Amino acid sequence: MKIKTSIISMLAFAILIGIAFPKGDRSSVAGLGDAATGKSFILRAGILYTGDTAPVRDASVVVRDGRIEFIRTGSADLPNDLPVVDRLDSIVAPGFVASETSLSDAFEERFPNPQFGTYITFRTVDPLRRAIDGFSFLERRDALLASGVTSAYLAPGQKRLVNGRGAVIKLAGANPGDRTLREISDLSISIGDAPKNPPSEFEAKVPPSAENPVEPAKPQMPKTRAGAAYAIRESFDFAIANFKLSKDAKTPRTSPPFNPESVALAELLTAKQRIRIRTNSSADARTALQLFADYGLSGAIVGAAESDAFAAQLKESDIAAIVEIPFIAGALPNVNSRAETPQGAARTASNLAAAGVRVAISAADDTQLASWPLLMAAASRGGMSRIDIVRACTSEPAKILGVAERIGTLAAGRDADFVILNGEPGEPTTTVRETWVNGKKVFDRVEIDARRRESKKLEITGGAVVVRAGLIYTMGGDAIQNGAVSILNGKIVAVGHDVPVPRGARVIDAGPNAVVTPGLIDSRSFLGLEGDPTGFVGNVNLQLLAVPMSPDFRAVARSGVTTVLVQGASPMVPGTPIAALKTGGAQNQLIIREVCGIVIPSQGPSPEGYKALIRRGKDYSDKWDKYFVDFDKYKDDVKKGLVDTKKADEKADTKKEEPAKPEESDPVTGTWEGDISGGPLPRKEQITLKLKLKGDAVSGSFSSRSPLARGEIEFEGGKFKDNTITITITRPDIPVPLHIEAKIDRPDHLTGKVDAQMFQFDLEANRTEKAAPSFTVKSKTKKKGGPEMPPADETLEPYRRLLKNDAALVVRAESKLEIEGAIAGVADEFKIQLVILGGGDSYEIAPSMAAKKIGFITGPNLAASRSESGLPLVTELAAAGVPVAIGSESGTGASRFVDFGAYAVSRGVGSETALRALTVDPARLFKIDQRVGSLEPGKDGDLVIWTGMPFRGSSEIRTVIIGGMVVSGGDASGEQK
Amino acid sequence: MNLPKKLIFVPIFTIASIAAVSRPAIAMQEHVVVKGGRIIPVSGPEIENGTILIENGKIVAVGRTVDTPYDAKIIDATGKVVIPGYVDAHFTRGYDRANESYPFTPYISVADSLDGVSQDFEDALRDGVTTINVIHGNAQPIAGRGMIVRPFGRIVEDMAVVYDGALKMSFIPRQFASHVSQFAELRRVFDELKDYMERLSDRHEDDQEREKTKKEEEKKQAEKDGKKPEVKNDKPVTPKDAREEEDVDRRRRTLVDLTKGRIPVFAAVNAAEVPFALDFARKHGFFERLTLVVGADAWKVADLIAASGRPVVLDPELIHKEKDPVTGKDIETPVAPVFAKKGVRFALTTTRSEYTQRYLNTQAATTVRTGVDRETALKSITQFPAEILGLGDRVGSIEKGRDANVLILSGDPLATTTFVEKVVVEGKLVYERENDERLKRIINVTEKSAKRMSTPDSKPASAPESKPESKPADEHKDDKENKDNKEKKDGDK
Repeated sequence: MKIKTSIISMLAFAILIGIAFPKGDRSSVAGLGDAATGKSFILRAGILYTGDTAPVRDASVVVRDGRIEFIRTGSADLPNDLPVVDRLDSIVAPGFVASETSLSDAFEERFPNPQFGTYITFRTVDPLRRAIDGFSFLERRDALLASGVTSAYLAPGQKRLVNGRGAVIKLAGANPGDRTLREISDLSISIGDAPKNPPSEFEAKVPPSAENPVEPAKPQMPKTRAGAAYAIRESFDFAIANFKLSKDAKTPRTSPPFNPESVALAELLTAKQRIRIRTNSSADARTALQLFADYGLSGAIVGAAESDAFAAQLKESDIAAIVEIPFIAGALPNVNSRAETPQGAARTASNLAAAGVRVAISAADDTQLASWPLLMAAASRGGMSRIDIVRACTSEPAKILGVAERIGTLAAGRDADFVILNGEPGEPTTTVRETWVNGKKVFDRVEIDARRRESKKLEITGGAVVVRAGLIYTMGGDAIQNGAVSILNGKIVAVGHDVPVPRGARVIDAGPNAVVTPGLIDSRSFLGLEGDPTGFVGNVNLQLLAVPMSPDFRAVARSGVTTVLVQGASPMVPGTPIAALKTGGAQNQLIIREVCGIVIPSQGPSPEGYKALIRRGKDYSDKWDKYFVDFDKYKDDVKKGLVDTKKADEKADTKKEEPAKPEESDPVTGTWEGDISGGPLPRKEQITLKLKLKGDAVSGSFSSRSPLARGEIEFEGGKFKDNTITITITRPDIPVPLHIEAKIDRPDHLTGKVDAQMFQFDLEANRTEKAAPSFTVKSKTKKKGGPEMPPADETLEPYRRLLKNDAALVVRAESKLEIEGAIAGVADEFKIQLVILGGGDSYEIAPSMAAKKIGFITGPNLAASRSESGLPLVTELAAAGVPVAIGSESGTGASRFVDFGAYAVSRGVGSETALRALTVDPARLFKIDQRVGSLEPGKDGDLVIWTGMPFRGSSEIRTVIIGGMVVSGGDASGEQK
Repeated sequence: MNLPKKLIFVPIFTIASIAAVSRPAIAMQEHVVVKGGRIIPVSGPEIENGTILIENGKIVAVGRTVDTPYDAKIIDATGKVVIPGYVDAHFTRGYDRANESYPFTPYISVADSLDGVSQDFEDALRDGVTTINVIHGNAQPIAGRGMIVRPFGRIVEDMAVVYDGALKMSFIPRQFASHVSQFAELRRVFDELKDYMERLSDRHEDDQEREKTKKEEEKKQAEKDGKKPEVKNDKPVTPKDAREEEDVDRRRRTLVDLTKGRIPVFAAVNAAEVPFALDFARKHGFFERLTLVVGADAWKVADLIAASGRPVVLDPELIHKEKDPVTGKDIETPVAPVFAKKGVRFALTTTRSEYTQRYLNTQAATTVRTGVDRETALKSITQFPAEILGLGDRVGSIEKGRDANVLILSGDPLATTTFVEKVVVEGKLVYERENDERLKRIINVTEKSAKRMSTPDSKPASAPESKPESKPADEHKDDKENKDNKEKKDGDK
């Protein structure tokens, strides 16, 4: 045996292998996935973890064609040809690298008894297996991308001593060639509990013969750890000893018999390729270290439970550790050993890292893999530092897997694979908001949530947002220092110092100087009223005017005004309604109230003019109130059995006619059966006419199955003249009025036409019965006894609201006399919410207004000062306790509210006063405080983030959120698309 | 000739037929003319009121003005549609079982399991399929060799069009296996073959060297002895390859042929296995002979397949269904238009298990409904499968020189109400709907029962029939009682 020469040639062969398996065959595979080009942009990161260095604040990452060109602190000297992806409110880290996964279908094998006819040979040493074969590039990996994992090592199984070759792939990307980082990677070996008790090796002999006899299945080692260690050594030794090259020095082979497993093993062992050994305990770790040493191998131990006992040796021999940290989610498992507890495993990882061993952390199974941020939190609890955790999830695994030149760190030349986190890595509330691979967004929490909600027919909301700031004006209670607001599905879920962070929530940490206020309310807005707002009169459905995505609404929204009270501007027409609309947010949340108030734009000296209006409204309202009371009583009576419903129903019939005796000479009376045809009807439709003649008046009923009129419809007022019957049926319960004109052309036969506005039908019928039909003409609305319902009147409906104190009456009144008149005539008499518009003299009666909770709306000029004290009117009224609201009296003019506010503050209006007048006060006056005006749980997630105290000099609006959707500032999702 | 009669006589004729294997299967010295129909030749424009002249089973003329020889047997197709016989490129019926349980059996052949009297072939003929590639199923990585047959004939040799057909492979993991184990096994099989061939080659080299040395030694010895070397006429040296192959054992021969690209291969794949299958075929020398038998999801890798230029046999399920992972909504993708758009040559095939996927013409109609043009759809059940089977110059179109496999249809081939009225295989009229005994029986039965159900006075007629029906039930009851008693007795023992 020429072992020595063969070892030399083996070394040569090792080089050959290196050439033979560079990128693999798969790079030739095109057509799976989309175009290979990535995107170019500048990523602005609030905090940037590069993967191997300390975090950098305010960093810019320049990405070109999916690769990082360079990284720089701050925003100076950046290329100006690239779009900016602004994530200054977030934390950016490299995409996580899972260094051990069961994503290859090697884990799905099963081994039934070959006697049942399934021949799958289980070899405990099988280095020919390749994990890449079992990975489907076509499958979407949404769950993993959602947890921030962008690359993964595919394990070729773990139930064998030698499981085969792993692979390193990306979980997203252009095509398989691009996504395959290493097609054939580490050889995977298991010496823990996993490979124990393998099935016997059965080899089917086809066809069996004397030379090829059927043999019983061979039992295979190991049953014990000792057996496992021995079996591995034996296979290694056998491989090396029997390895040789064929004559042409190209093909490696063993001496007969053919044994490709040994060839493959020998190739690996002699080429000193990387090996990974799965260990379950410190005993396994010891055996693994011995194997590495004996065969001069390098690589890593996986699982690595209790391996911190050998930290020094691991460091010395440069063996890395991939520590699997199980974390508890859901059911609590029984705990058998230190290694199985999250704490224990995390401590192992922490100790190893502290000792200078290269450590990667990984999830214990695929379910846990989909919760990577939780894995980091578990590691954090085990004592690992934040930077060590990031390293162990990114740069270290990339090095261990031999793919550090492409992934694992954010540095020049690397792939732009990164995640956007909503908090610091290792924090339990931190989750992934976005995942990018090769400069392309492959996961977006908001987008996925929207798609999911859309498919379930739920309204689309802005997802979850948490805003932290130095000061939070809740306006419903005290201001909160260093607090946070948590919004989920468009509604506020919590306000306080520490709030729940919903999974994947966008966390906006506005900093200690920032101030958060509720969204502002414009109490007198003409937004969306096309043309001259003064020409707008009458009772129009104002909410139909709202076009939230129109530039006008968005301009107003961006300036912090999240609610507008839209109303007509006519100075003359009294009694027009006010609608409360939002300027953005989810579509079906846009209308807060169709009617939240009524405007009386001019009054004159006496309130009598509009009092008549209110009185009419009151009559109307009273009628309905009475009806409801009566109806409730009737229902109660029915329940108690005091009323016989049948009798009551009968009583409700207005008329009942007795059948008259048939007259021989009567040509009309009786039942006519026939059909109508023509028009849009596809075929003839049967109809029945029951007619009764009295003098020349015809009454009766018409019934058909056509959509013209279903069932039997009674009518009166028909005419019979010159042998022609003319009937017109107009009733609310049939779609169009019917006009019937029919001639009795011969006895007992009529022909004619039915006219239904657009269509005409031909009518033909025969009299089948001459007896006068018995029928009743019932009341028009179907009625079942009980009190009679009063008629509905759309124009008076708003007054019902008003009188129920569910809306406000806005009255323009300037002089003291006018104001007092209004108070006496309206507020006192009808006990309704009154809001004075204009009201220059109102300061004179401020205390009495405050006592009666009469509101006050001023125009945009907050600083207007008419009081003798010289203070602005607003300030004085507010000081007296009068609720004040502010109206822009314009359409898009509300977008300059902040400027007016700043001006007013400079003239002596307190910024808190201004804030009240723009938030909680109008909300309460107009009875929309259930939804807007303050930051309290259950209310709409509308808020404004200011860089400082609102309306103060340098302070400006940073971000506006409506219904949980960021409408301006940062990466407003509404704007970027 | 009518079919059922033939079937009845099969047992009697079988022995005689085996004796007559060497006789040409269908050889007629006669002229046949198909006259008056609308001819859809598939390979060219339609011919209204055209005539096909057939001589000795081959088409010799097609056109509007073709003279009818005096001795021609005339098949009148006036008012009918004439189309080439359909070709089914992947037919896993007509035998006892589709697959062995042992995964690698390249040495077996469908020819040994073909069942000529199978109802599957009778049905095929009735449905107008005149060329059938009978092949193994998808349950083995390497199954065996298929066979191309006509659904007509008593024994395998009569039916055979091509005796040794394509080798069937499957890259789809079989039951209990994974891609990882299945692909590793495949590699192992081909590595073993390579190793075997190399050892064989080494041995031959050794032999040759030994011979050479021996000769030289003899020469030297002769010179030493002073003798004049004998001038022998050396036998021509057998080429190295040929000698190796002579020595290849029976079990490996098919695989050697495979790696030398000598035999066609049909490989079953789903989308996930396509890249591996193409690479593997390239590496092992059968890429040029590869046809992919694709699963319904293979449209996802249509680009890759189109780039490879390999033809495909589509899954009978022509509309692929899956669920959106995020929203859970059903997504349906018609498969055929995807391949048609990319210019991939595809053949349609059928399955017995789904009624809607049972006929080639309705399959073609389905592709038209989902966006394939009519011409391509018709080719995908005639010309394309013929080309895929390597029989493009023999079947699949009505042209001069082609085998006279012709269907006479009652109407347009893509209409669901159309029936195959007559089938001509290689010039011989082998099926007539009006003489289809089985069909008659089925239709008569249906008609009768329909009649019985509709006529009100059928009750007295059916009453006596119901009596004997009730009797066996009683008997059965008795049996059961007896059995119960017996069991009781047994229990007593």
